[in-house]
Amino acid sequence: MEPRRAGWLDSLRKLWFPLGLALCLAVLLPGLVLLVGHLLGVAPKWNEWLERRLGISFHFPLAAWTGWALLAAPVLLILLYFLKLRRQPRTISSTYLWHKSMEDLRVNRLFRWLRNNVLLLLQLLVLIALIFGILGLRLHGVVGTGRYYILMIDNSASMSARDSGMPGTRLEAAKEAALREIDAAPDDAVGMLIVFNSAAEIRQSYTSNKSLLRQRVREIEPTQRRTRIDEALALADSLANQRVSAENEAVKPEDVQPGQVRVYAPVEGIQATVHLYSDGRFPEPSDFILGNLDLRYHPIGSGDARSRNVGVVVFNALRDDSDRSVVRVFARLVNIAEQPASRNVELVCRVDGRLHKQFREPVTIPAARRRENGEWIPGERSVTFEVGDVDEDREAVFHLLAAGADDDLAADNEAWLVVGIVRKACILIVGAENRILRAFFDDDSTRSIAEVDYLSAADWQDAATRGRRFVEPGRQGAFDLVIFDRIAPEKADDMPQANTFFIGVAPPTLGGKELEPRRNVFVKAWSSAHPLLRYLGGLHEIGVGETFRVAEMPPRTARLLEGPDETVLLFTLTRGPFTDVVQTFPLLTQADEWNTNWPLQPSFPMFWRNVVFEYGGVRDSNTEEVLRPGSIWRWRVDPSTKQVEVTDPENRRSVVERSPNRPEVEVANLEKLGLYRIAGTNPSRTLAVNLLDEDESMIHPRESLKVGDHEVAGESVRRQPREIWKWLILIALVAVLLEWFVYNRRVAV
Amino acid sequence: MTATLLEPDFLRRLEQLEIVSRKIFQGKMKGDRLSRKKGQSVEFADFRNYVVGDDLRFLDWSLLGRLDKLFIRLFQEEEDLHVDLLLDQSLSMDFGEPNKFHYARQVAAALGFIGLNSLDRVVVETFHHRSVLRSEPLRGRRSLWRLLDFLNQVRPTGAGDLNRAMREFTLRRSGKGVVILLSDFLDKGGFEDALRYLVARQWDVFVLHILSPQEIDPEFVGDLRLVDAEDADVAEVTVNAALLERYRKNLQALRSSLATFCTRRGISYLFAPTDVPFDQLVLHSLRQRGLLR
Repeated sequence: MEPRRAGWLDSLRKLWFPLGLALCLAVLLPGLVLLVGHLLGVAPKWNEWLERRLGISFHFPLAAWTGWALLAAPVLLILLYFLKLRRQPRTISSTYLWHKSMEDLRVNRLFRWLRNNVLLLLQLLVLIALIFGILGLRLHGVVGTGRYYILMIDNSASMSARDSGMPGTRLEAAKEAALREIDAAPDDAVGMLIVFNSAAEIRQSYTSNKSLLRQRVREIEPTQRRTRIDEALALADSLANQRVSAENEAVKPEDVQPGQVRVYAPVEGIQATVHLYSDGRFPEPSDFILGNLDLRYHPIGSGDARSRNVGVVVFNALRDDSDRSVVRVFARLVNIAEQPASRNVELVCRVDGRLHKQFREPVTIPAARRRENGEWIPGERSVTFEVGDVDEDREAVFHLLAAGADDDLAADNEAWLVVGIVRKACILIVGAENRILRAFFDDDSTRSIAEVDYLSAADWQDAATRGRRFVEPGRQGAFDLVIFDRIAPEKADDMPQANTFFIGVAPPTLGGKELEPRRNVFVKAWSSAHPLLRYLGGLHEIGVGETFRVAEMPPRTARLLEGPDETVLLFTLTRGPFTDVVQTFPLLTQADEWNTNWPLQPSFPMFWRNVVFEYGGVRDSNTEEVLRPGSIWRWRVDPSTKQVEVTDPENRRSVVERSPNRPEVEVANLEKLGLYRIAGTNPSRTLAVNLLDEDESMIHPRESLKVGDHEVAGESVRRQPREIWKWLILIALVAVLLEWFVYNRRVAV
Repeated sequence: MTATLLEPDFLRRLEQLEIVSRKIFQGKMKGDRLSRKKGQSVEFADFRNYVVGDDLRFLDWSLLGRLDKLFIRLFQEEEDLHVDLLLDQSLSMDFGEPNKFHYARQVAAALGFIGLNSLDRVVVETFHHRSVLRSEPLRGRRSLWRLLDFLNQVRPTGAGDLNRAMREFTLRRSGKGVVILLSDFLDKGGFEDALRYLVARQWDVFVLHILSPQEIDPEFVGDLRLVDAEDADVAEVTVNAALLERYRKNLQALRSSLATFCTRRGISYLFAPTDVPFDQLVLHSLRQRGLLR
C-alpha cells in the first residue's frame, strides 16, 4: 500500500506542472480569442452572442497596439520559458567543483524546482488576470431591471462646426461626451442610441451591452442635414410613454359604479433619462409632452461670444419679366458673430457646363445682436447679381461662395442654384367647349409651363378618335393631367395612366356611389394645407349653383372644399400612383351658363396654376423645390426610361432604377451639398442641394431648450476621472516581464 | 620561443637564485652544493681513524706528528641536486586568461633555469592520467635551450589522473631530490593519494596550485550546460548567487584542504593564481616560500 501511495505522489509531483500549465493555457485561450476578435473588429457581433448566450460582454478600452502587445505577451512569456530551458553550453576546465556545489544545493533541489516553475504559472496567472481585466469582462443582469437611458446625438450640419478652442468638431465632442456617459452608467443600465438630423433613427435599441453602444456611438458620421428634433423625441416617447389604452389605469374613472369594477392595467412605459447632445439649433418642439422622459440637455459647442460664422441662408433666382434672358440672383447672408464680418461674395454662372459669367462683390455683414431674452439676432446682408444672356432653354448653374478664415462652419458658406425650364406639363382637356378653362389654359403664362390639347365632346363620342387621341396615349402615360369637363370614362379601366381632374362629374373610380343633387351651396370650409389650396384666400366667397353630394365618401378621402351638410365640393381620390381630383360642381352648366362665381375670384387662376404644377409635373427654376441634404427628389420620366444615372458632387456615380408601376424615379441619397447630375432623363437634369437654413447657420449653442411647457437647462458634459487603472495594469505587465527577465539574467549576482 | 617563456632580462635576474632543498640529497655528479656524504672537496668536515685501504693523501700529517696516530681528514662532498619538475598536462590546464598551462610552463622554465644555473640535474616531466613526456636529465646553463624546446613542445592533452600519474612517477623515479608539482588539482580523484606517494619517497616536495581568475571567481550566470574539458562530463546548472557562493566555498575548501594536507606532511604549498604576474611569483612568492633563495 505504501509503495503505491508513494508512486501516486511521485506521479503527481511530476505531473503537477504540466497540468497547471495546461490549465492556465486553457483559461488564457478564451481571453486571447476575444482579444483577436476585438482586433479584427468583430467584437460587437461576438458581444451580442456572448450577451445572448452567456450574459457577458467585453470591452477593450485601449488602443489597438496595446491589444497586439497583450496578445504577444503570453507567447513571449512561454517563449522566454523555453529559452530558459535551452541551456547554453560552456566548456570549463573541470566540472569537479560545480558538481560538488550542486550536490551541496541538492538538498533542497525539489523546492528549487518547484519555485522556478511556480513562478511561470504565477506569471501566466497574472497575465490572464491582466488580459481579462483589460478586456473589461462584465456580467449582465436581466434586462429591464436596470436604469434606462437614451443617448440622443445630433449629427446635423451645424454639428460639423469647429469651434475655436475645441480640438475637433462638435459632433466629435458630442460623441466623446456620450461615450463618457456610457462609461459612467452602471453595469445594469440599459441604453439606447438615437441619432437625429432632419430625420431620426434608432441606431441601437435598448441594450446593456456597453461595448456595442460605444461602437454605435463611434460609428456616427456627420451629415449636412438640417435639424429637427421632433422625430427623435417621438421615437424616445414611443418607448417611454405608452399610449393610453382603454384598458389601463389612465382611463380609470374616478367614480366607479358598483358592480362595474374592472381590472385596469397599470400605465406602462419606461422611465428613461434622455441625454441630448446637440447645439440646440433646431425648432423647439412646442407641443411635446415629456412624460416619462427625463430630458437632460448637454449643449455642445463653445460659448456664444466665441462662435463665428457667416452663412448663406437664401439663394434664389428670378427671370426678368421684360427680358427673359436676364436672371436676377438673390442671396442673403447672415453673420452670427458679435463683430461685423467681411466677405468677398463670389458668384460663378455656368451655362450648359461652360463658364458664362463670374462676379465678385465685397460685402460687410453687420454684427449679430442679442435680445433682452438672450436670443441672438444675426446680422443680415442681401446681395443681388444680375446675369444677362441666360437663355430660357438652357440650363444655367450658379455657385455662390462666401468663405472666410474666421468661420466655424464651412457647410453654409456656399450654395448652388440651377435655372432653366426643364419640363412642361402635358395636359388633355376632354369635354365640351369651356371658355373659362380655355381662358386660363390659353394664357401665355400657362402656355409657358404646359402643352394643352383639347378633345371635344364630339371627338370623345367617336370611338376611333377617342382611341387615337385619348385611350392609346393615356395608356402609354403620355399625359400628365387629363381634365374631364362634365364627361367621364365609363369604366375604371378606361382611366388614363395620368392624374385626372373631374369637373362636375363623378369619376368611375368612385365605384357608382350614390350622388345626391344639391343646389345653391357655399363653401364652408377648406383645407389650406393641401398643395392645391396653398396660399389661397377668400374661398368662403365661392358660391355654387348646381352640384352633387357623394352620399358615402370613400374612407381617407382628402376633402379640400366642403359645403354645408357634409357636401364635399372638392376632394381627391388616390388611384395607384395617380391622383383623381373631383370638383363636384361644373364651371358652366349644360346651358353654357356660369354655375359658380369662383372664376371671378383671384383664387381661381391660382388654384388652377397649383393644379398644373402639382399634378402636371411642371418643373422650372422658379418652382424647383429647395433640395436639402436628405431630401428625396422625384421626377416623372418617360415610360421607356427604366433607370437614371446619378453623379454626386464628388463625381461618384450610381444608378437609380424606376420602381415598377410608378411613373417617376426617386433619388434618395442626396446627402452631400453641391450639384447632382442626373443622366437618363430627357433632358438630363442638374440638382442643387443646399443647406440654406438659418437655424443651422446660427451655431451659437443654445443654453436651454423649451420642450412643450418644460424648460430644460443645459447641463455640463459629464466629467469623470480618467481610467488610469488600465495603464497601471499595463505597467504591472511590464514589471512582470521585467522581473522574469531579471530573474533569468541573475543581475543580482 | 624563448621570449615566450622567459625574457632575457628576467633570466639575468634568475641567475642570482638557486633552488633550496631543505634536505641534502646525493647526486650522481659533483655539483655546487654540499652533500651529506664526505668526499673530495675543499670543505673540511671531520676526522676519523685511518683504516687500511684509505687514501693516504687524506692523512692528517699534523696530527700524526703530534699524537702519533693516523687520522684521515674528511671533506664535505659537493654534490649536484636532482630537481624534478612535474607539469600537469591535462586539458583542464588549458583554461583561463592568463592561461594556466602557459603560466605553469613559465614557472617550470624559470625553476629549470635556476636549477641548471646551479648545476643541478633538472628533469621536466609532464603528465595527465599517466606520465607523458620526460626530458632527458639536463645540467648546466647550456642545457637551457633544450629545456625550453622541451617545454615549448608540450601541449595540453588528455584527461588527468593525478594519483595514477604520481604513482607511476614514484615507482619509476629513484634517488632523492626536489620534486616540484605544478597542477590545478581539479582532479575528480582527489589529490591525497598522489601526494602521499611523493611524501613516502622522502623527496623535498613543492606544490604549486595554479588556478585562473575565471575559476576563482566565475563570471558566468544563467542557465548553462557546463562541459568538462577533460572528460566531456556535463553539469547542467542554473548559475545564481547561491550556487556561486557555494562554488566559492568549495574552491576555498579545496585550497584549504590541500594546504593543510601539504603542511602536515612537510610539503610546501603555494597557491598561484594566474593573474599574479609570473615574475612576481618567482622572484617574491617562491623566495618567501623558501623554494628559492
